[in-house]
Amino acid sequence: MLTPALEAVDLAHAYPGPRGAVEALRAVTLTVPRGEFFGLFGPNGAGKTTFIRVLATLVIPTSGHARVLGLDVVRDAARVRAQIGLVFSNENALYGRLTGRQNLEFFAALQGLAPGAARRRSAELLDFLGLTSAADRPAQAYSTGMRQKLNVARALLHDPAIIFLDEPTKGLDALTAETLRHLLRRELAERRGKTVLLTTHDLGEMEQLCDRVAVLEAGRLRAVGAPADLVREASRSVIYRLEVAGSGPGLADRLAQLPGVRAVTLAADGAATVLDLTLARAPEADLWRLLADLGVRVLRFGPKEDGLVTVLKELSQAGHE
Amino acid sequence: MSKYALLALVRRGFLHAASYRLNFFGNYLGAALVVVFFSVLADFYGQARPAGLALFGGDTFTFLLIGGVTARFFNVGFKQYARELEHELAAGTVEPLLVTATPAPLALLGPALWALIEGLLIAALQLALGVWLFRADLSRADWPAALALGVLALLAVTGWGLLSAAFVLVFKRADPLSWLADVTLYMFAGVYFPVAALPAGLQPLAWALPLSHALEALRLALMQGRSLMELARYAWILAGFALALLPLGVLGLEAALRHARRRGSLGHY
Ligand SMILES: Nc1ncnc2c1ncn2[C@@H]1O[C@H](COP(=O)(O)OP(=O)(O)OP(=O)(O)O)[C@@H](O)[C@H]1O
Ligand SMILES: [Mg+2]
Repeated sequence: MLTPALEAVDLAHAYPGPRGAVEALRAVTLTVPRGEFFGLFGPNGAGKTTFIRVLATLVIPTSGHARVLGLDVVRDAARVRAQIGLVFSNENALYGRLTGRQNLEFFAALQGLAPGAARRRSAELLDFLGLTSAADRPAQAYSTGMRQKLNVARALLHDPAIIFLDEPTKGLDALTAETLRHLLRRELAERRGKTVLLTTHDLGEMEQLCDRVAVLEAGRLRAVGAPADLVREASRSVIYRLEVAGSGPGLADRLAQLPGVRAVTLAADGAATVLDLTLARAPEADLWRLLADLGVRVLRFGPKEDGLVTVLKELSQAGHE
Repeated sequence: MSKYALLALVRRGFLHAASYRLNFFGNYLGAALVVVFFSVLADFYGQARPAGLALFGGDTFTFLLIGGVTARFFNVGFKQYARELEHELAAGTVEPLLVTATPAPLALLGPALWALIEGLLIAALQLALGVWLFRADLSRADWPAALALGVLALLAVTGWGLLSAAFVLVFKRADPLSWLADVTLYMFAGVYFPVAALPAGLQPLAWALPLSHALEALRLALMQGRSLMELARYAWILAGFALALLPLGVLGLEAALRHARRRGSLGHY
């Protein structure tokens, strides 16, 4: 079998502190195969950033092991670094007085690229991320989103096999975030087969991007699986929100008669109709057929209370029992 | 691989320094004014001809010039590693530097490289100014000997630089170290007066510092033209300091890195 991209075995980390150690990771065992788009999800302080920092050789774990492409992150740290790109959640980690281009060329050289290659690669990435017109302005004059893009470009300079992204879309406008997500999913994961490990608090993003998700809570791994599976497992009944164009008289009644629909409530009416459906299971073909037969235009359809929030709630309740 | 990194680190240092334009040129102006200051000081003390200067040939201005220029350069060597690292910590760029393929010690010390090169440039400028405008007497100088001694001293200073970088990684601020460097350099190393002028009880302390040896040797090479053979004793002592301080610095830096990695404090300031 191919060595997995990422492997954690009983990984634990405690940060020493004035009032005793903070256990940021507790016996986390996890494998991410190559080419997977993997998400880390969990509340603030769950240990997501710590997990990434351990894998990126920036934090030495207190116990357990972590391997990147089979290389131990403590013993083979230098070789691990050659394989990874890291997008920091702190978008300020740049040289503000240098231009975007100078920042990239500098880090490219530190990754071992010859000057010509560093210039070409930097220009290519600036273009790729839509920063070319701002390339020769100092990075401190960039907006948050532009800095974040530069941060992403830096992580890709040496074309690493594995990319870690700590809340990459934090602070980005919807369009920019969507562009970045597209880039990560289509260009990096699907077209180039990169392994991506991403953290986010945006549940839609998680479900949209990730093949699998690990849910961390207080340093413990609470669940791993495809987002849809996690949703299904956790929800014996899930509330979906349906938004259709125009007003739909009788729509609520028709929907309520469908098998698997437990309740329908009208949340808003007017230019658009918003309905909350309580479903016993994930929506099925007959729901879509009905909507098509009635000729309604669906504006939005998705879990109202997001699937993963439900997972998380259930898991944390289970943990406290 | 590290070759490109080295060049890029120097270039980045230059770009950053040059982006503060006034400061950048002010640096050169300040260095030139110091030479004027030495000349005024030498004129004032010139008549007195302190006995301690006899060893070097007695020209007060040249004595002060070499002391001041050397001290300024080594002061950069002492402090710059720590200072740059403080900046990198504050900017949040230490972690991005450390996840690159460049070995950690180079990535941590590299940011100071430009300042060292510039320091060398300024030192040359000051000497040239001293010779042309104020008639410093370097006519007998043995330049190869001075260069060799300078390199040995720089290696010893780099050992200290590594230790100061280690100190910053752990404690985040280098102030106690810069204070120590200033006191030892300007009090004890014989910058403005020869070590012989110190109270007898303090002289052994002075000779425990590599820079006292470096300054005395450099003055002998530049003012009296003593050859490296004649100054072999100094060269050995400086090599000894380098051999002791460099490994100590490397070990210290490694320990500090391990410490910071355990605590996850590489990004803290
Ligand atoms: N350098 C550090 N020193 C001490 N404690 C730390 C350090 N970094 C993180 N912690 C603690 O470790 C725990 C996990 O933090 P971590 O940053 O990994 O969480 P996270 O899941 O990334 O949270 P968020 O979603 O807010 O980014 C927290 O309790 C945090 O206070
Ligand atoms: Mg985090």
